[in-house]
Amino acid sequence: MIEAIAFYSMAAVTLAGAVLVVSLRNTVHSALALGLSLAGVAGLFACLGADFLFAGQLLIYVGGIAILIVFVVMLLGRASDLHLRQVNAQWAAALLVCAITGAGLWRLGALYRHASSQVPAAATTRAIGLLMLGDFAVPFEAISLVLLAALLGAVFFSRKDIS
Amino acid sequence: MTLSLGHYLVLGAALFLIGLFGALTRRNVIGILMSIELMFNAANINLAAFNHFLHPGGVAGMTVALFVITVAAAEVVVGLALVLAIYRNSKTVYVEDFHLLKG
Amino acid sequence: MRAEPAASAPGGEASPRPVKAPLPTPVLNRKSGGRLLTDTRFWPTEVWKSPWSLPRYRAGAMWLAGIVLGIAAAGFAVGELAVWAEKLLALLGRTSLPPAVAAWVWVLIKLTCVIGVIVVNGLWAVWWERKISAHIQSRFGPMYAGGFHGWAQTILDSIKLLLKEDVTPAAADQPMHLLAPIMAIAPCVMAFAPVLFGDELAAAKLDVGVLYIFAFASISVIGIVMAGWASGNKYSLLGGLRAAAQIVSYELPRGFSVVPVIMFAGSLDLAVIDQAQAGYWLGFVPRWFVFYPVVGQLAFIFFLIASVAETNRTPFDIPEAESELVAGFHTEFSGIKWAMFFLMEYGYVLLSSFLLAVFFLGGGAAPLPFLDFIPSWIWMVSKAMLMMFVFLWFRWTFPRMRVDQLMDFNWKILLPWSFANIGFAGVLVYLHRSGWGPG
Repeated sequence: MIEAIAFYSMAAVTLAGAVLVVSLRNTVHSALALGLSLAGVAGLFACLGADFLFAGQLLIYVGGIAILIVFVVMLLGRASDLHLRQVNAQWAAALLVCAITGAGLWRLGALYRHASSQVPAAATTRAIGLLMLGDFAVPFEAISLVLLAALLGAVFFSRKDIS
Repeated sequence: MTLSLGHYLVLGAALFLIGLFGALTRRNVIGILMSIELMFNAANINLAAFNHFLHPGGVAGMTVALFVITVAAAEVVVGLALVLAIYRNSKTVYVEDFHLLKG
Repeated sequence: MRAEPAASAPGGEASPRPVKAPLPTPVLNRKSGGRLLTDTRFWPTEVWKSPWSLPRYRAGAMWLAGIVLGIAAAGFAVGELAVWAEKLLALLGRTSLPPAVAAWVWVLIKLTCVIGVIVVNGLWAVWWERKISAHIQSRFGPMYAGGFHGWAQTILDSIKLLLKEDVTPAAADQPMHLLAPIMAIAPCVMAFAPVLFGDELAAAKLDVGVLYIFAFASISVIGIVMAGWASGNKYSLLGGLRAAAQIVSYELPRGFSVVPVIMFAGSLDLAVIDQAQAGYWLGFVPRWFVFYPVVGQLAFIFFLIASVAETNRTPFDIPEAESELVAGFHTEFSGIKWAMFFLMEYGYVLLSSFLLAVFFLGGGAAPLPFLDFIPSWIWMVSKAMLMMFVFLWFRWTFPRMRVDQLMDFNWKILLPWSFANIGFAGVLVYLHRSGWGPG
């Protein structure tokens, strides 16, 4: 029963945050709602027994990406933005696309709907570490190259033009 | 009630659809980036859920989810740097004003 | 020399003077204890004594002191409680409560203890800091409030803060102004869940304890940025962004300097790290990680410096220094909201002190074998207080670093050396595995 309470409360937080992200006018509030939604996703990882992923999600997403987005939104926001609508004119078409995609996802998910598991959660850190340096060693090294590229890209694009 | 994989799949799908709606309709380019982040998180929930229910004891799904988190972080960083550069040139963050490449 | 007010009025009758109610007597002009408070002949003892004779202050002070003492008793009894935890749980189970409720009651007790420790630490650390700063500056510090060396000074200050007017600027974002102190203090309290208060004395036994603590310490940055934005003025926004940049930058060496400790202990669980430091080399040298050659000392110094920077303490307190940006991100917050930011800072100082004690100083292990009879939680708290003394000592010893010096120091010196430290730790682990080095 406690699992159900945990799952439904975390799911409510996540979905409420997500709806606020796509609907609020004030972009700063929207960015903070994104932080809330990401924290809710971290809670869902904890419900699934993925403890390292839970802490990693909080550390990277909420403690890094959400803050970065809040920084940029605060730097680029203007007071006039609060009076403009933030949703463009094609929202009806977007709803239609979402409905069709939802139907497709429902058909795909119908195969696996009833799988359930009673295995108690175990510590995953050691297993993830062994996997990263074992089977997933090549993606692990490739990720470091991706991060290096991102770092260089960010530094390059935010440089002031000297010419 | 016991939770099954279906609950998590529905949640992941709902989050993905909300993110998709936001990516299609937000005028602010940072709003679009935030909606894309929601879609990444929906994929991560799916990965972790499949890992927990179909492969209990294994961690391959979680490891791929970690890679997805890292790639998403890299993408947000570059995206925001681009947004800053665009803002410096055109003084606007609304996507309908980015029409320099239009014929 | 007032002119006749009714001189130019037409008609014979004087216009009726409006009746004004008399203003209330200011506090200092009231009589208290038979003398006027403004009577300066009696000031040195009168001023200190007479506000206490106002029943309001006395009642409020006794309530607050009672609550604090009660929470303190609960908090510092955590050592004894945990030893008798099994018996307590059995006792709770023998009442008519179902076992689930008994477990929940136990969780609430642990929660009260942890919050009690944080709140009591807030009061005690502020008093201690004022005493330390005073003695470093050749003066006395608080001496009057409560009698002996002003022990009640912080309690009275918190009563004053509770009674202050809550001013929200008109240009501020109202819901965010309310939410910012909450977002700052909540992760601080949550981060205390796996913190070890002695051997096996933690509120929650987590397999990823270390990572969990760092994760929640990084969430409080959102509260600081919100505070800077919600104040509605540019200086607070700048202060908030600078503080956030500083905290986020120094999280990296803080995390990386703990990696050697995790490598030596083999787990992220704080209890396992604590147990890995039990025992003695040669019979009398404790096996604390700080004593491991080169790696331990370097990691200890890096973690200490990074923690000082994380908590925005001098020498890294550009965001909240008085001479810099007024008060930085918490300029526009008054009363209880400012108290929340203050509590957050000292809460993180306490967290860092406990982490330093657990990771490097053995945390619960006695320094010499024959001192084992002293319970582990006394050792833990003493080591944490020693580390907190170092934090408070740094503040009044070092001059402040400029923002660019701060960032340079982090990215060019601290972070590369943390990486090198991980390499040294790898070498040490290899030597230990092949039978050579300490371990």
